[in-house]
Amino acid sequence: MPMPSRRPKLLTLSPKESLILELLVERDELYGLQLVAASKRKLKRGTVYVTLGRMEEKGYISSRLEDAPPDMGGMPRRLYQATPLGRRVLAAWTSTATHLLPEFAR
Amino acid sequence: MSRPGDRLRALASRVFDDETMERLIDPVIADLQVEYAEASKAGLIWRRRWVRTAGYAAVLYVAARTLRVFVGLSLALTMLFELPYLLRWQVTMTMARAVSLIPQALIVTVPMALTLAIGFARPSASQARQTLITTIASGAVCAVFVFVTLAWWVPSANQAFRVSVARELGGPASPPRGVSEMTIGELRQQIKWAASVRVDWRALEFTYHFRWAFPWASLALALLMASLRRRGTTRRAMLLAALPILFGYYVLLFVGREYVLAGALQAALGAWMPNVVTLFAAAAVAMRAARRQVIA
Repeated sequence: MPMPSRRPKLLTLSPKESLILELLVERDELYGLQLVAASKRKLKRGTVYVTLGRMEEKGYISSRLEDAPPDMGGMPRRLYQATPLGRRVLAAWTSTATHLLPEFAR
Repeated sequence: MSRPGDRLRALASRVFDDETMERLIDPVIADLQVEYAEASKAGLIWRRRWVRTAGYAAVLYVAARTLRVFVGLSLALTMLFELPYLLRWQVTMTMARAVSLIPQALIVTVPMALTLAIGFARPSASQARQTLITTIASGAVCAVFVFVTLAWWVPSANQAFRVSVARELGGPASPPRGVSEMTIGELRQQIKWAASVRVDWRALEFTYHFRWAFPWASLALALLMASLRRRGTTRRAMLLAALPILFGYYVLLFVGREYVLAGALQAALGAWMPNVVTLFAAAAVAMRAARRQVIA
């Protein structure tokens, strides 16, 4: 498992990152394209990998290659999972947003 | 049989480091290949085509994102160079006229942006060879771009600007081309003509050699920056070093031109001197870095 290259000075969470974390917390482990499909096209296939790379660097998610290449051939796909730090940041962000913006909780 | 994305991956692996390949490029290609195989198995020809196109677009987007510093700097510097002309020009500055000034700015901003972007890049000490290949490839691509711009795009854009201004001021419909509006072939002919009628052709000759030499500034400057990186220079120091390096290059170019115009230096030597000096500096820094590594 690749370790985050550096710890962020400030734990920031963009709306896209928050969406990805929500999906990963909900479904445990997903491929990039599964995230695009699960987000109901809120995430684009071109941008999702860049966001995932950035989140991995921040330490919010971790990734691993799938165990065996799929039957139909091709390179092994990368599976993404939320880290404990990512879960904590999402929980903190959701809680803060709920307190600051009551309409967010509806 | 090759799978979709295999060739693109092979090409990308020559340019990007292992970390970028593993984290950004490979996941896109892996998903593309699985989706493509699923569509093939189901006999969905149009879906297969769409998957391939969308996958390639995603790879290109990811690749372009890694070049965002270079692209951003090129755009910002181009705007900065254009601004004085846009603000001070005496005639109406239409969109077409502003656009025709872009190529002239690009030939200066591309080598500058590349030098600064290499300074800004995150150091990767474990992949010195890959970094060098990427640097040479980036420098060569920029050199070709600047050469094409300088040889054809700038002359035609400058002439378009002159025609447009002449029309507004009631001048000739097709004003004669100046030195900056001539292509390399036209410059060569002009030098022959000037030599035959014994007119001073040194400025023309310098411009001709400058058109061949200047595009390689991108490569020479990139190699110098890569050598500094190999020496273990920090990001901040690299960025600080980039400014005097760029300034030094332009001083050498200016001095070389002045010597050529004064008849003290051959035109080719004056035009190529900044590149040669920069390459010598790059070699000296690289050799020093290699000696340090051996001692360590």
